[in-house]
Amino acid sequence: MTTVGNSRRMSRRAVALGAAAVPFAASAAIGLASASAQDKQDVRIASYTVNDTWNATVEEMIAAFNAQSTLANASIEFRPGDQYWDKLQTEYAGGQAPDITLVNSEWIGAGASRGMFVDLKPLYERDQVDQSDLWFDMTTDWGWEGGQYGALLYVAGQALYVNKDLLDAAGEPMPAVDWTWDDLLESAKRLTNEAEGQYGIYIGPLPPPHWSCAFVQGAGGAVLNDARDECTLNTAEARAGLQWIVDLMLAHKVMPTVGATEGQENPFLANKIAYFFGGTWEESAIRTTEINWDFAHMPAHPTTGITSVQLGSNAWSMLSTTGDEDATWEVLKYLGGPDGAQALVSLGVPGFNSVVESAEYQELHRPQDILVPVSDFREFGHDYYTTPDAAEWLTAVVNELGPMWTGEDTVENSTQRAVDRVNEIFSMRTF
Amino acid sequence: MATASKTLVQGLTTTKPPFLNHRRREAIGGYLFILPWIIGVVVFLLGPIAASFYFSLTNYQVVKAPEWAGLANYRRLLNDDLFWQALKVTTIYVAISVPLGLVLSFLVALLMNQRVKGIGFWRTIFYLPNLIPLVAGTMLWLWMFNPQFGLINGFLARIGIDGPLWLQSQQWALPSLIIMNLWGVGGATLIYLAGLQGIPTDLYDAVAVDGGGAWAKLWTITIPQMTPVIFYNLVLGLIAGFQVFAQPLILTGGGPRYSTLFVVLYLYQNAFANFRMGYASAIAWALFLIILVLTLIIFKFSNAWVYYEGDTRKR
Repeated sequence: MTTVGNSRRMSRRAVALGAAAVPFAASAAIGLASASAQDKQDVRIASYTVNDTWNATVEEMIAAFNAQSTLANASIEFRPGDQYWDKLQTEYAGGQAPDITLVNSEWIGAGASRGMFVDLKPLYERDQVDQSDLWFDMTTDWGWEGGQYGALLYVAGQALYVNKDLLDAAGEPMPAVDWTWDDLLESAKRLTNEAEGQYGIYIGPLPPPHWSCAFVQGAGGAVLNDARDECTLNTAEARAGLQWIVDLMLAHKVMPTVGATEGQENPFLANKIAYFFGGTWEESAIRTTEINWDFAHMPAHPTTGITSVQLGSNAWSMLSTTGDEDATWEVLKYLGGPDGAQALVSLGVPGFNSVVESAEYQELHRPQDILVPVSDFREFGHDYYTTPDAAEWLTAVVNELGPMWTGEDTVENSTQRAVDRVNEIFSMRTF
Repeated sequence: MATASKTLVQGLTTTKPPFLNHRRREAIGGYLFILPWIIGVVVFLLGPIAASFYFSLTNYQVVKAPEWAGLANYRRLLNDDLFWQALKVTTIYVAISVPLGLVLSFLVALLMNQRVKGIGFWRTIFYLPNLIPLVAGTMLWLWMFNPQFGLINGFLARIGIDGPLWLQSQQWALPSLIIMNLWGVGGATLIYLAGLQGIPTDLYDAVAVDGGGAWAKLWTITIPQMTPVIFYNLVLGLIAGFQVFAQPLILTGGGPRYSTLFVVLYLYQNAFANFRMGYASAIAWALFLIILVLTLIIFKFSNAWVYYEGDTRKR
């Protein structure tokens, strides 16, 4: 009995002790768990908003990274695209910048030369990250004085989207692989019905650094010389390319004027454009519509025979104010590596051969053939005109060419003024 | 005698007023009450003003430490044709939109001062644009000015006029911004209305007794009585006109071909797009001096046309 009694007493004591221990054990367990979560360094990523589909896909990619990482816990902030770069620089100056940012090609020189971005080359070399699978040359768009300042997000650039319903209704065949600007114009004339607000062609965004560059280059010209220290928009070839676009709007009236599309959603999404020269990042939004569309190859200039596709890829860059470089690098390595590229396959053209050539990637873009723009990129892609003062000289070009698009001034006058203005900016360079 | 004198000195010592007398206590209390405001002015106003003057004498890219440049930024300002273009655009805008706004808001205030049925409704309607957030209102005008689908060109087409390209046109972009500015006359109208309602009615009665009609009442009573309010609106309009920024930033970015490049927009582009904070500070100081000089001139000449009742100053 005593034994039993003792045993009962022991048992009660054990229960009491156990009961008392439970909260401690639980809190200890929670503490351990939270300690492990706290061990992961927070890494802030900033991006401008492209569209809802794009944002959702990027968020999924970040979640996938967080699920597998033991070092970093990444979070993304989507911000308005307007003045994104200006605001980022101000944040950086105020010490409030994120750890990683989405970057456009024209920002990389400015950011790298001012010490805003971390040179990733030593990190790539230290960790022996193999970049040989990239088909896109990172040193051109993302390099500065021998360093590498971006981890590729995707290869963005100009693609030609075709509204098959409009072509079918007009009895127009899909463009041939070897078609020319003349073929495009003739077809656009047949597809334009101005009274119905339907146009054969829409090029958007139009001014340099965007898609008018491809027509300047197709005509044999260039926006800047190879050394990128002189504007060459006043050459006969460059002027011919720009004049061709101006004529589309004002002479042939097969393209909406620049004013007509101001403040509107992309008119291709309104089912009113037959041939849309847009960015590859538009694909995800176009897929959400009921439009029966396909990709077509870029046309060649009828006399020079040159086909040009303007590229303007995006990357992720590390800000030099980042708190924990190792954790940030861990995130960046993922975003810019094959896993990151694989996660974003629905959004554009990955820079990795293995991803682009995978059946899975191509199947994801069916019924369209994503290899049409990809092959154009590889064969005819023209690098961005990256310079540290790109924001300034591009603003000048956009301003000076403005009256040309509306017919208020000639291509000759506008391009000459643009050249004078840009060369004046270049003459003040301190780098 | 010696004892008595010692007592007297001691008495004098003890009657010396305390350091914290009533007047000082009151002063300290007053300063303590306004201390938050003083701190705010020093930290958020005088500090940045002094800093901007220092930066205007440096080359400052923000992400790097400023480098002393002396008067180089001011010398550059004199030779910068874009600064002069921005000053020209801003001056034209102020010269047209301020007088137009003053006249229009005064006329609207006269109408809103009538004793008619439903006047409260009309006063609300005219003031409503001032309640709409600036960006939302500006975006609305972006659509109004759309050359192909906009309401304005749609209306003009109905009466057989082929409307201009508005914001896309080098000639029409600045007039577009002036038209848009007139949409917001409700603010000045409200101030005029308050002034109109403060004019003693016996003055109008006196004109009526002398056989004067509505026109005489306007010229001899209303306008002279309203000159302090007109003066107030003129000074505020001038300062606001020289500081126009958000509308061109949102609508035109300064284009086409710098036809809407306002001084503050150019300042912003230099400061936050090109990161020439030193040069942008020099622009800010130049703009400050221009506004200061113009305001002083207006004040100087106000004696000749602004009437203050009870003012004994020699005219």
